[in-house]
Formats: sequence, structure tokens, C-alpha cells
Amino acid sequence: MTSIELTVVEQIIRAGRTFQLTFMVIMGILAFLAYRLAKRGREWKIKPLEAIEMLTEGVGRAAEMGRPILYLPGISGLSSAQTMAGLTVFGEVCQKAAEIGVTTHLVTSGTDVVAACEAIVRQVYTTIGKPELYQPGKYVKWYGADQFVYAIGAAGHILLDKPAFVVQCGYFLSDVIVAGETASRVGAMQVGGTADQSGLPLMGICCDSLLIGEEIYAASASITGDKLATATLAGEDWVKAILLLLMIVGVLAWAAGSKDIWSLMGM
Amino acid sequence: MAKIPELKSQYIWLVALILFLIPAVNPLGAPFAMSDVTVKIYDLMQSLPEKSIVVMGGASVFAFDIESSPGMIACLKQMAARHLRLVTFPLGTEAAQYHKFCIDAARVDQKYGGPWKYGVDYVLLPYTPGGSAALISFLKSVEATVTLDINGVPINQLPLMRDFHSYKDIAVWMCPHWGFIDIIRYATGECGVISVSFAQSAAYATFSPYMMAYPGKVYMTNGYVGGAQYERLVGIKGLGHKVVDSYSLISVLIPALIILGNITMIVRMKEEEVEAKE
Amino acid sequence: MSATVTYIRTYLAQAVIIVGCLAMLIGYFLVSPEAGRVADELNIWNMNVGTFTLFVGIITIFMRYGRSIINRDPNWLFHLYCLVVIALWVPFGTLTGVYSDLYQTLYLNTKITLHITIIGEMIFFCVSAMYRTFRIKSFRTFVLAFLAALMIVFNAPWLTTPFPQVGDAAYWLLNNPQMAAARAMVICGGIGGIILGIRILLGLEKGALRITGG
Repeated sequence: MTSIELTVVEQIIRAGRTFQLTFMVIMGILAFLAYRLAKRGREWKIKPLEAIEMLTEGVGRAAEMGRPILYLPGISGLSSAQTMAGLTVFGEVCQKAAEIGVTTHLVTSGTDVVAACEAIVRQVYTTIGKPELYQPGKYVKWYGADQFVYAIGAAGHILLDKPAFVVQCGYFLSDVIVAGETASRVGAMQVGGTADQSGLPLMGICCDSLLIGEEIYAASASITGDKLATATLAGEDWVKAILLLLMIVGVLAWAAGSKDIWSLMGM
Repeated sequence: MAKIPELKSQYIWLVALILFLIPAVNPLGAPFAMSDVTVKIYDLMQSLPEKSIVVMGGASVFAFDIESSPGMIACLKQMAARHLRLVTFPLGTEAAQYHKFCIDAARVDQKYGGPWKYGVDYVLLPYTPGGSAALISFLKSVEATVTLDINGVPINQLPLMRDFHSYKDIAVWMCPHWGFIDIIRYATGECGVISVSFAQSAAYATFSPYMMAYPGKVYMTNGYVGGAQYERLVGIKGLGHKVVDSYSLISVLIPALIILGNITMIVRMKEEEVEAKE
Repeated sequence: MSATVTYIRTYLAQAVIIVGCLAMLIGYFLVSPEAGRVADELNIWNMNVGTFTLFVGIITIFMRYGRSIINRDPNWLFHLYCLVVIALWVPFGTLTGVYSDLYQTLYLNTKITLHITIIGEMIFFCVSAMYRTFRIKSFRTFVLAFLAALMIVFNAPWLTTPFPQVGDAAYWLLNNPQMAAARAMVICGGIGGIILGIRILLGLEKGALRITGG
């Protein structure tokens, strides 16, 4: 590029963010492209996630044992992408459970999540044709906004209610071990999922099955069975393939003494 | 082979409790090695010119941040001895309490016989809501973000704050909180400010990619052991030294329990095989 | 009428998200003083909303616990105790100042002590969970158990002092294979989050749509 073109770019895009913007635009285009291809009939199959299959198994277990399900969406609010993914999974679990007469409770720490989950539960019972079963405050519990106040509240709820199946899907930190170990003590089956790497090891030592990292976003897309939502996962995979290629080329270039890829990404 | 019963959780907890109590009653004085990164942080603070402004800020949970307190308290003592200046910027409600706790525990204020005078050598700013938005605003313009200190005094009346206007006046950002990633993103990544964390050991693995991504700009110690290392460098014996004893004992218990659990499992499997054959 | 309201709620929410998203993205990426001013204004609104949510929690807890006290639900006495403590604590903090020595002493000796207790019990849960979980039934579980035990032992001060190479090995494990996995998770998690955002903008995210009744 000539110095004049560089100056023009720098006048439009903030320094050091050109690559980020370009990459974000590419991501958006690829995701939208996958969505459009799906609308035209293209189908993508994703690898079955064991944790998603265990969700159905867990709902069945709860029905057999006559005990409720407990869902924990994490310690963050609606501003977190992980919480949003968790709410989609919650909606599906709640609907599957409600259809066979199993109650799903939810304990959360965010007051905005309380409002959102109440709306989800109300929508679920309306969808299955039993709106009279919905009561505000009966299904969604809030014990406090603090991370460990929430965790202790969830643990206390588990000891009182003795759920057969506990799902922990959202943003968790080390509070997950409190509810997870308590659920193990009451013999509950557990499925967990988080994209936070500090909560994941603790989740791994108490859950029977895990959604690791971005699998929770994949779960939120695929659990509904919506082909269009699943198609965006294909776009995500294309983005990852591009990143992988860039990493390999970058490593080889660096080893060869070239900083061009490094400079490109720092643009 | 004799049947080995599964250990109930309560018995495991009892053993762990006893192991925690032993060093509390009779300190073991367990040795620990020094880390290069801890020495680098110490040297960095030693190399700062006098009157440099260090910001202590971030957002997290007080009870978690106790793990960062040994290193932070030792660092505050070092800063006071080096005549550095401190401004706290809490981004969480409990962070404000934590900053005051650290300063009081370090005994650096003149009321405890230390060299620091409030308003001249250190200023405590109140909690500013907004998370990253508040941080960005603070880095751009301190006066636009905060107008009063925790005592309600306008900051333009405090001598220290007359020298502190934006990120350009910050020598080092100390973040003894879990919210270190936001500090790295905005203070180091965007503004080039050196950031240091006395990270909790659970957070170390989370933060270490950032330390590798910003060499020479991001530093952190590792949990209580890191705090003990910094205490040794500063020449004090605090909470870090006490916890190292418990670390030593529990780090033996956990592998022993893993081995015991596997022995129990193997014995049970063999018994089930025998019973199946019968 | 209700269909119109649902339609407006769904698309109004998406419109607000798109406008806010564009303003923040333009302000972040592009050299645009106007977009920068919009982004600054949105940041200020974000701070205002953040302040407001401090009160939402209090209102929610009073409403819920008040209802349970009136209805004499199970454990209503604990709810009453909670509301009484809040009602006494707030004026106390206001009168003494939240940064006063008296407030700090009380805060440290009540709330923080309880909090530390909860965090302290986590190690007991971790220890018992590790005993139960790290059972070697396959090659994968062997690798997991071996590495977990290795990391715990490698960070043990009694081992790293006489054998510094052990500490170096632990840091190598943390800073190389673990970091590679951590970076992969962060990168993929970030991409997944952005794609989730695109799904919400496209109206494909059922969780978000249920909230707005779509």
C-alpha cells in the first residue's frame, strides 16, 4: 500500500484495529452466508454432543424418580453471552420437562435473569397448553446477588428439594463446586457447561457430562433443532478454519524470520 | 483381599480440617522457592522514580481477594518506603473496602507510624459503577469520572490528584482482583500502562495467556505462595508465610486421596469379577 | 392487540440492540467524533443503568421476602431476619460512612467472615470431589488423573524448594500445554459469543425470543 492509502485508512479506522474490524466483518459475512444457505435448503449436521443427549436422559430420570429438575444459569446477568446461551438451553429443558409433568426450578443471582426466566417459564406453560400451572415465584428462585450467596442458596435448595437432575449452564466461577458437590451428595445426575476456564475444571470434577467452552453456544443453537440456528455454527467453523490457517502461516512465517503476519494482525 | 469401603465425604473433610489446623497451632515454617516473575515485580517497583503514581483498582470479591492481600500488603509497604504515591479506583462495591483494608493492614498511614499522608501520598476514591465503561472513562479523564474521594472531599483539593489526570500519569496499575483481564484489556492493551496482579492461584491459569501476550507489560504472582515470596523480598512475615504450611500438607493429602480412591476402585472391580464368576 | 404488542416488543428489542451495537462498534473501530460522542453517551447510560441495578436487587428482595413473610412460607423467619438486618444496616452505613473504621470493622467481622467461610469450605468440597472423580478407568482418565496429581504436587512448596526443576516443570505445563488449551477456549468462546450475538440479531436465538414473547 502506498503511504497515501495508509493515511486514508488511518483516517477512517482507528490505529491498531483494522485487522479486528476486517475479521469481525468477515465473521459476520460467513455467519450470514451460512444462514442464507440453510434457508435455501442446505443442511449441516453437527457432531452429537453427549451432554445434550444427557439432557433428555436427565429429564427422563427426573420423571421416573418423581423428583424435580434444578437449573442453574450461572452468576452473570443477561449481558453475558453465556447466560443467554444458558437461557436457551433452560427453555428447552423446561419445555421437555413440563410436557411430561416434571417441574423445573431455577436459581439465579441476577435480578434481570429472574425476570427473563419468569417470562421463559410462563411462555413454556402457555406453549404446552397449561398456563394455569404457572405461578410467579414458584419456579424461579433468587437468594441474593452475591456469587456465593447464590451458591449457598442453590446448595440449600438442592438439599431441601433433592432434585434428580441438575443442569449448570452459563457463566460460573469457583462457586460451581458448592452446588455441584451438594448435588452429588443427593445423588443427582449433573450436566454442566461453561466457557470460563476457571470454573470448568471444578465443573468437570462434579458433573457427569460437560459442555466445554463454545459447546454451550453450539448447544443453544442445536438443542432447539432449528436448522437456521445450526447453520450459524457452520459459519463459526469457517471462521475457526481461517484462524487456524492464519496461525499456521504465522508460526511458519515467524520461524522463517518474517513479522508480516504479526504486523498484519497488529494493524 | 479385604473390602475397602468408600470413604464418606465427611471423613475426608475431617482429615483436611486436621491438616489445616496443625500449622495453625504449630507453624511448620515450610520452605518455598522464589519465582523469577515475583522478583521482576519487586525490581519494577524498586525502579520507579519517587512520587510515581500507582493505581490500585479493579472489581472482584473481597473474600477472594484475601489471597492477594499478602502480596498487596507487602507491596504497599515497599511503595511507602520508596515514596511512591497511590490512588485507589474500585470498580466493585467490595473493592473499596478491600483497598482500605490493605492500606490499614500495611500500616503505611501516619496514624500507624507510617510515612504516608492522606491526600498527599495516597487517595481513596469511591466505588464507580459501570465496570469497563467506568474504567475507560477513568483512563481517559480522571476528573470527568470521579469528582469526590471517599470522604466527600472534591479531588481537586487533594494535592496528589492535581498531578493525576489520565492514564499518562500512571506508572503501574496494581490489580489484586479477579477483574484483572479488564485492566489488561484497557489499561495495558489500549493505553500501554504496566499492570501487575497478585493473582489468586485459581486465576493464574486464566491470566497467564495475557502475561505471555504482553511481555514486559503484564506481571503476576501466583496465589499465596506468590504473596509469601513478595513478603520475603520486602522482609516481612505475614499471611503468605502462614498459608505456605497448609499448602504443603494439603498438597500431600490430595494425591494420597486420588491414589486411595483408585485402590478402592480396583479392589471393588476385582471383587465384582470374582462374584460374577461365582 | 396482543399480537401487535408482541411484534413491537420483539422487533423493538432487536432494533435497540442493533442501534446500540452499531454505535459501540463504530465508536470503537472508526475514527468518527460523532460516533465517539454517541459511544461515550452510551457508556454514561451504561454507568447509570449499573447504578440503578443496585436498587433493583434491594427492591426484589423486599418484594419476595415480604410476600413470604406475609404468607408465612417455610423459613419465613430467616427472611424476616434478612430484611431487618438490611433495614438496620443501610442507615448505619449512611450515618457512619461506608469507609469509616467502625463500618469497616463491622463489615469485616460479619459479611466478609461469612464469605471467607464459604470460600474456605470449597477446598473441602474440592478434596472430596477429587477423591470421587479421579478414577482411572481408561487412558483418558489416566492422563487426567496423572496431570491433576502432578500439578498439585508440582506446586507443593516442600518439593519445589529442594528440587527447583519441579517448579520449572510446573510452570512449563501451565505456560505451554495449559495455555494453548486456555487460549483455544478463549478464542473459540469469543467467536461463539459473537456468533450468538449474530443469531440474536437475526432473531434465531429462542432463549432471547421467549423473553420478549416471540
